[in-house]
Amino acid sequence: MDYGTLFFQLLMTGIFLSSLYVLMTFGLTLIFGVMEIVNFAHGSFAILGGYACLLTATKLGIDPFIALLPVTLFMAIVGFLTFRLFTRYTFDVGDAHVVHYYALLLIISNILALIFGLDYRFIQSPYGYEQLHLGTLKYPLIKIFVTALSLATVVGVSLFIRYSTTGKRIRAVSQSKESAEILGIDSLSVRQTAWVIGIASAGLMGALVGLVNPFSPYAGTTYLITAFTVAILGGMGSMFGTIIAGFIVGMTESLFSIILPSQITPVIAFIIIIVALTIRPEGLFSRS
Amino acid sequence: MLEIKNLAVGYGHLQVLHDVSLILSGGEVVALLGGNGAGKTTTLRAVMGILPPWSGEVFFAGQPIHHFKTPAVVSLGLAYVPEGKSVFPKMTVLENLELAVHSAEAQSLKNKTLEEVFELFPQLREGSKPKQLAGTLSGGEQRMLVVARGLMARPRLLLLDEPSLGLAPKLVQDLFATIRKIHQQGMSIFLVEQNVHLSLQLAGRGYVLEHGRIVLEGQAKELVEMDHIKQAYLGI
Repeated sequence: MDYGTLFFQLLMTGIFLSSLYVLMTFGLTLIFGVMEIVNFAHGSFAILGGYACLLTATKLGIDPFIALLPVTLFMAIVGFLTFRLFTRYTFDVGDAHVVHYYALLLIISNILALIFGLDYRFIQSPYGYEQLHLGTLKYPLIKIFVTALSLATVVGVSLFIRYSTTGKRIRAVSQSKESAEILGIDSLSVRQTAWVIGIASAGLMGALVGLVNPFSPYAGTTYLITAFTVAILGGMGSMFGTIIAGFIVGMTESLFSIILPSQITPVIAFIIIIVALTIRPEGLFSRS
Repeated sequence: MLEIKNLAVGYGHLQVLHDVSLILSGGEVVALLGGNGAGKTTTLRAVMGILPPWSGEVFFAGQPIHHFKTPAVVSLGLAYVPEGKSVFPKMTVLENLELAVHSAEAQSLKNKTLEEVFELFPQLREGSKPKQLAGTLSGGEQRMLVVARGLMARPRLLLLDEPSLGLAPKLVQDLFATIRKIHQQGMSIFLVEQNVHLSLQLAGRGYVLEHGRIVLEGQAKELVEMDHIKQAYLGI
């Protein structure tokens, strides 16, 4: 294989990984920014999305990419219900919320394990292993679609947060909850919206990953660890920092994948974090 | 317009306000004076629904509001301008102003209100200021922005919390001149201040709060003359 092709594949894989990492961490960062809650169950919501897509695609016999729409809607409803029944009661418990959300992680993972068993599952798509050919360069089509959808979602959510009225209220509440309430903004409703967006994007990410990698009920932990890495590197609470950090971690992982076996590559994320936090403990773009 | 009856409020186990009663009629400027820790800000926060009252009642236009949450109080037409820098630092001046607009009425009049607000605070319209991040404004400009933001909701009653605090004397004078203009345009104002001199120039009536109790009340002209005020606050 010549270096041109190698470089192209590394670049594409880097973008592919980065887009998924950013999508995953977006929800985590959004939730933390608006309500100071670290959602330890975020990874299990992603896996839930994966199973939801698997079920929808196989039972209804439709293209899994089409299934993504109802799956995202389903995850939004899951987000709404978990907010009303659980999340909003965890705001005033301080650091103890770690226990609450870890419990939620266990509940979701165990329910999925009961229903689906522990075997690794994979969402089949009609594109299978087809590759896109550009002259001598080739790359799996499915990964290109997943990357495109991830990036589109990240861009869409970013634009929403930046320019829509609800998005501005979300930013206002995360910058100063009390000032926002003084202006008459209903901070509970704003927090609910942020949570729903976070959970829906986690579910979407899980479904997208499920199209490319096999997953099982407890696999959410791996996603979560990477998401934490990206979130801490980018500075908890900064959406822009998430994007930059996501790309740093994704591209570096892709680069090192030539020389390291794939099981070790998550270690890259940890090394990056150790180096970065040694130099700048508050994260690259933290909100102080 | 605003009536506070026998209000008792506290934080945790600490009672801050004891049996506070006062009245503000439409079109008035009423000053609430007192030193640090007297309970002035606590009074405003209780009115706005930020702090739940321990006992007592608050009425606005005859309606009891002491059990209302803040968004409900705001929708009735009260606007609270807190002390200190409470702008949203990472949002632009324009975005800060627009965030205060909620009700259907305020929304439909948004552009008109913006124009009126920029007339009162032309510094906020200069050059590229409207697109500048609020956190990068000077202290005086941030204070202006917070007052301007309070006006964006087209309130019926403006609650000002120590507007002069931390500002240079010239800026304080300008700000009070603008507040006078706002009053002349028909706004009712509840002014909480430590600057007795300026507040009693502006206000028609005043109350003095000490350790959470009203110890003096009366016409502004009379209060200025009283020995107590002269000694305690004007250094005479």
